[in-house]
Amino acid sequence: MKSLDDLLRDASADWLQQARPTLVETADELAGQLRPTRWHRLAMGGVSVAAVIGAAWWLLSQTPSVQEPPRMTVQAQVQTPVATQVQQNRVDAPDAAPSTSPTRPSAKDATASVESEMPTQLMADGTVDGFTAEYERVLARAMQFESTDPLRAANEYLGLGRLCLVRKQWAHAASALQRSEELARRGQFLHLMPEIQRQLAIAQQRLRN
Amino acid sequence: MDVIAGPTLSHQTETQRLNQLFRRVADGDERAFRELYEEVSRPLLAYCLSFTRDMDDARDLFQHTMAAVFEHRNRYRYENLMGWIFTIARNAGRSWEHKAKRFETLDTDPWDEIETDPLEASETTELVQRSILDLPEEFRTVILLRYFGEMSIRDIAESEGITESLVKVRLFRARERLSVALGPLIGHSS
Repeated sequence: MKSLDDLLRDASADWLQQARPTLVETADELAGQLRPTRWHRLAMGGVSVAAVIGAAWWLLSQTPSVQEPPRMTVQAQVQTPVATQVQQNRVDAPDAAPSTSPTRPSAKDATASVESEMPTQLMADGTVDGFTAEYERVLARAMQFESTDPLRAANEYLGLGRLCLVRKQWAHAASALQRSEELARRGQFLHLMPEIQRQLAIAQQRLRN
Repeated sequence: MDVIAGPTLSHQTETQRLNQLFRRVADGDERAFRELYEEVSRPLLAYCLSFTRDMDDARDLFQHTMAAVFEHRNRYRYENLMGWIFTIARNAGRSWEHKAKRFETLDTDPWDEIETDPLEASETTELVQRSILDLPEEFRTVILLRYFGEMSIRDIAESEGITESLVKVRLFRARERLSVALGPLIGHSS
């Protein structure tokens, strides 16, 4: 003769025995549903990261006009002297600029590139704290050397990037450093790349924050 | 009036542990799911059995409830996991009960179908099971959760939203009734 507790335990054990296949089957079925969920999450995570990177890249390329609208009311005031200098470069520079690499663009191409990209990308800030003047001066010099001495131009843009970082002009810094990186890559100035990329990373990090 | 004592540190830790497991499950962690399933499946099956009073139906309700828990896992507020799961089971059980209308009280005496004496083990077990399932719902539920679900008094109280004292009272009365029903098996006269 058993106690009530023993009888209750026996009854429970028997029920458990009956239910065991169901318990196993249900667990397997739900675990099976979990696997695609996890892969789906991972995939969605990858897509999200790619979207964030894409958005950040787009923002960086738009920074002067989107994130830091020019404080200067008349942009032409900045553009004019630089454009004049560029025009002057075009006159002064020989049509066939000395080229050390077949991949290096011609002087005309470089000048056209400067005219089309730089004024909208880099020339913006019209403050009167001394930064603007120096910024414009370095920028004009960098643009001037783009066609005649790409190595020096890359260095000038790197210096411009550093200047902007010191003055906490993150968007301008990123633009200048990207230009420097582009010139260094095009001219195979690999010794400049680590420093450019280090500074660029700082600028991009600051922009994100 | 019964007052639920504040949760002990170990109880809080246990609740947190289950919640952490559930969070990992919601993130798609299969290992966490297996671990959590091991913990909740037996109490849930016991709870389902208290509704259906039939193991085959209980298994159906169990599967239905687990699927619902899984489907709505993002709605869980990370408070009382077993209480939340039981609520889902209760809602599913109630609607199913209305549809099926299959849980009428047994009107036969469990002893009527037992022909031989002494009883064989399987017959004894069946008799005990039927006696449990014949108990009124509030007694049936606590007996099933305590013995089949292997839940603590505190966990039963928390899951059912009642005091521990009330759980103890119900358990005591349920055992009294079972002692009467199963008197010949345990040496009591009915």
